[in-house]
Amino acid sequence: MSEILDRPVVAAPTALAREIDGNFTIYDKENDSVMVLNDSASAIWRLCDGRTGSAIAAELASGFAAGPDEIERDVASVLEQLTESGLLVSPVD
Amino acid sequence: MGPTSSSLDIDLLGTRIRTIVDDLELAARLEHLLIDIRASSGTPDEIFEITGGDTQSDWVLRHNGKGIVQSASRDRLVERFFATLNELVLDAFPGVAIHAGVVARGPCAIAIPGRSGAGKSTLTAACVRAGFSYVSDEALCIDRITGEVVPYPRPLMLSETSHRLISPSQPSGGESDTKVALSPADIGGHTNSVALTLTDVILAERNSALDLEPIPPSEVVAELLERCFEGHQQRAGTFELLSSAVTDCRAWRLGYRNALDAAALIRRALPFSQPSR
Repeated sequence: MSEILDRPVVAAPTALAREIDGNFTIYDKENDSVMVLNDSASAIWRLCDGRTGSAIAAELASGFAAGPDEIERDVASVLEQLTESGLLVSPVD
Repeated sequence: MGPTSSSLDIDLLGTRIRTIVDDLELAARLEHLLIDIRASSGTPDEIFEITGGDTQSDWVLRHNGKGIVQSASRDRLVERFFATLNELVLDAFPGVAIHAGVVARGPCAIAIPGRSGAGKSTLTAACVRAGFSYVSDEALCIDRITGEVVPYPRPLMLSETSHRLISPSQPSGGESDTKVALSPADIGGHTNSVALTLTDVILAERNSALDLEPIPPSEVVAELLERCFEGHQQRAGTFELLSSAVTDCRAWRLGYRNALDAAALIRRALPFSQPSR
C-alpha cells in the first residue's frame, strides 16, 4: 500500500475527464472505454495533480469523518485501480 | 393520358434526395410517408428510382442508376428503400449520430438510446401516440457546433406485431418479417421539424417491471458513446460533445414490458421544463 501512496500521480495523457453533476466521467482514448467515478473516487481524482497518494489522503482527511488510516486505505485502493486502468501515471520529470 | 411516373424531393439531415416512382399508388404512399420532409425541387445529391410491379416484372430499386434490389414484393422493396436511405443519410451527416428513438415536448428532446432490435421504434411510436411529437425512431443526431438535436424524422418502421400493438384496429396481415413504414399521422401524432435541446435521456430495459427512476447523467455517457453509428466515431471529440450535452440533462432508467404503458408513464412522470441552455 505504501508504494502507491508514495508515488506522485497525474491523469494519463490518454485520459479525457469531464465533470458531470459533481462526479468525473473519464474516457480512455487508448482503450476506447468510459469509466464513471463515484463521489469518493471523484474527490481523489480532483487532487491527482502531481501530489503523492499520502498528500491526497492528508488533504481529504480534513473533510471526511473517517479516520486517517481508513482514508489512506481508500485512497490507495482507488489509485491502484486507476493506475492499473491506465488512467493515472507518474508525472514526467 | 396521365403521367407514368412521379418524382418526389426530400431533405433528410441536409441530404437532398429525389425519388422517381413509376407506380402512382406507391408514389402516393411515399408522398404521404415523406410529407414532413418534402423539399422544393432543386439539384438532388442522390437519386432513387423504383420501377416495375406489373404482372410481367419484379419491382426494382436503383440508386444513382445502379440496381440495389429486385423483388416480387412491394413491401420488401419499400423496406429496403428506407434502409438504404437511412444508411446513406446517416453516413453523410457531419454531426454525431447515435442509435436512439427520439421524441419531443415543446423545445425539449427526449432520447431513448438502444441497439437495433431493442424496441426503440415501438417505444417511440407509443410515445408519439401518448402525445409527444416525433423526432426519429432511428437516430439521435447532434450538431457538433451548436450541440442541438437535429430532427431525423424518417418514417417510423414497425414490425407487424408492434404495428398491431400501437394501432389495435389494424387488421393482421402482411408479411410478418417485413417492417411497415408509417408516418406519425398514421398513429395520430405529428412530426417535430425544428432543432431541439436534449433534456432527457432514458435507458430502457424491456422485460422488467414498469418503473422510471432518475439516475446520474454521468451514467448515460458510456451508453451513448457505445451506440454511436460507425463512421461517427471521432471518439474523443464525441465523448466531449456527449459529456457537454448531458451535463444539464435529466437521466432515467425505465423498466417496462408493454410500450404503451411505458409511454404513459413517461408522459406522466417526466416533469416538463424549459431547457436551461
